[in-house]
Amino acid sequence: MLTVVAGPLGGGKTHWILTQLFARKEMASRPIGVYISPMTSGVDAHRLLAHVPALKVEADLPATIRTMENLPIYLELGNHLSLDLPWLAQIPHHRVAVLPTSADRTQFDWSQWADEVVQPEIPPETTPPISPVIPLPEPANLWQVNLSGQVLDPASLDTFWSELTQGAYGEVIRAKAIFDLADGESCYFDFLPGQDAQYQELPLPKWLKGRPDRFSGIEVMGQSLDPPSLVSTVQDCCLSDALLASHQAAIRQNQFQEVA
Amino acid sequence: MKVAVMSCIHGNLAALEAVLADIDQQRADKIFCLGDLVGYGPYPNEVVSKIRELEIPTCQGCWDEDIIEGLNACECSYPSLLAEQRGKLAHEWTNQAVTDETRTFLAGLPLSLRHDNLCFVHGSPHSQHEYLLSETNAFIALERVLSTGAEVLFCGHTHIPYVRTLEQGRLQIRVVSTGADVEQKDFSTPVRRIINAGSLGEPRHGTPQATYVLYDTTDQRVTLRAVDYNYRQTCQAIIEKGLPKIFAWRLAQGLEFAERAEDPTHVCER
Repeated sequence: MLTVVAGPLGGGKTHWILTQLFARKEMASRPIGVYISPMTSGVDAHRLLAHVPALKVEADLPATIRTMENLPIYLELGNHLSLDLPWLAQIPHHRVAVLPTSADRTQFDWSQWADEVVQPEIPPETTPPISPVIPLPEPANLWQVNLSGQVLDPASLDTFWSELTQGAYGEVIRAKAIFDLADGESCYFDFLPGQDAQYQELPLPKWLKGRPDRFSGIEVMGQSLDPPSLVSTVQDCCLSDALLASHQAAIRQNQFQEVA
Repeated sequence: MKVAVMSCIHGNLAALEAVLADIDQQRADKIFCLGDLVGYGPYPNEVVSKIRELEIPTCQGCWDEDIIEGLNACECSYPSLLAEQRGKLAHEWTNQAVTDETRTFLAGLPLSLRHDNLCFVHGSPHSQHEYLLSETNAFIALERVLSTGAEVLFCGHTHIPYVRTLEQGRLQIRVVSTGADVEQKDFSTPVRRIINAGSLGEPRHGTPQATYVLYDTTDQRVTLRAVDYNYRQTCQAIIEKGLPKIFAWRLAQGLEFAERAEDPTHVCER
């Protein structure tokens, strides 16, 4: 069954899907669901995967529907995508609007679009608290980049994230990212205006040898964003091969001494 | 006598002009400058010209030294890779922008200045690169003032103004000699003060206001001045002259262009 999930920016769409997946987690030995989020670098998908490894992430909806019809399929519609879905007319689906109680219900009548309007349920151990809902200004643009293989210097990242969320590269209305850090951790970063930035270490093994062969990336939605400056600053936060090798060797040495 | 002390101008001409006008209004008798005339900001030559024109006694800052000697800071001088990249970009830009005349002037600046019982340095009496923070260990702070022989030590470099009074200082020494009893000696030290002038051109206290201090030698009163100026003019020049755009944003926010090192007491071995 295909479930199409939409809702206002920062309203908790991914959180709601995670809750649904957690309910099926007891069947973790085989795939418990499929997640599709069109036209994004994959931050939400890989955050879900970190918590629910038995999830399948796909990009091709028709092929997924043909081959995995017995699994629940969640299609998350990001706020940069249209809610008008003529291409789904021939596909049976269930529309869910995730709408926090704080949402302004006068801007859009979600009950007209959705089969079901739900409030996000937040598993406390895995997700940040519900955020205030931010109306999407026009024109908003999305900047995203895949950073897989890159490892960031935490102090540099701290400066960059602080500058980003304070508007140094344009007005940010939503930012989320998964970064691999110099200590081997993979961390999820989440920002919405009006709330403290959220950081969460993902439940993944520390990567302490070579460049990480796993997803990392950043998605920023905002106005008047400055992509060249964003790219250049992120690049300046990344460790060179030599620095990465040196960091990883020091961490492994510390671990060896602790064990000894 | 009313003394005005300013530091860390960093090529910010609009801030310097606003502070000089304010000093004039405050009727200061003498002005001292604690260095870092150049670096990060868009007008290094113009700032040096103004200081020379007004014959303001100035000591050499760490940036002034780096422009003469070449950037030779070890990597631990920077708190992050990003700060290192930005510091190097600013150094390269400034190095290309400064004239031979400016370079010669900076090279001739003394490391410290004295005026009666007042001493003026950029970072500390030990080095232009050493940070004397308000929370620096009291023994180290006292040692730095005592080493100058002055009663009041003026410094900058941290970009955060403060006044620290070191009173009731006591030094206790235990002398252990072979075949002799342990000898204990106590010394008390007179009151000493450290006054940090903050930063005129690159503040890091959350607003872009240019800061400096006024010190009255008759009653030892210290007044911290925060002066409004057209910082947007400096921001515009930063962008137009090809310095990183982020410097303009950080100046407008009252943030330093690059943060200080994680271990601020660290001094590079050169």
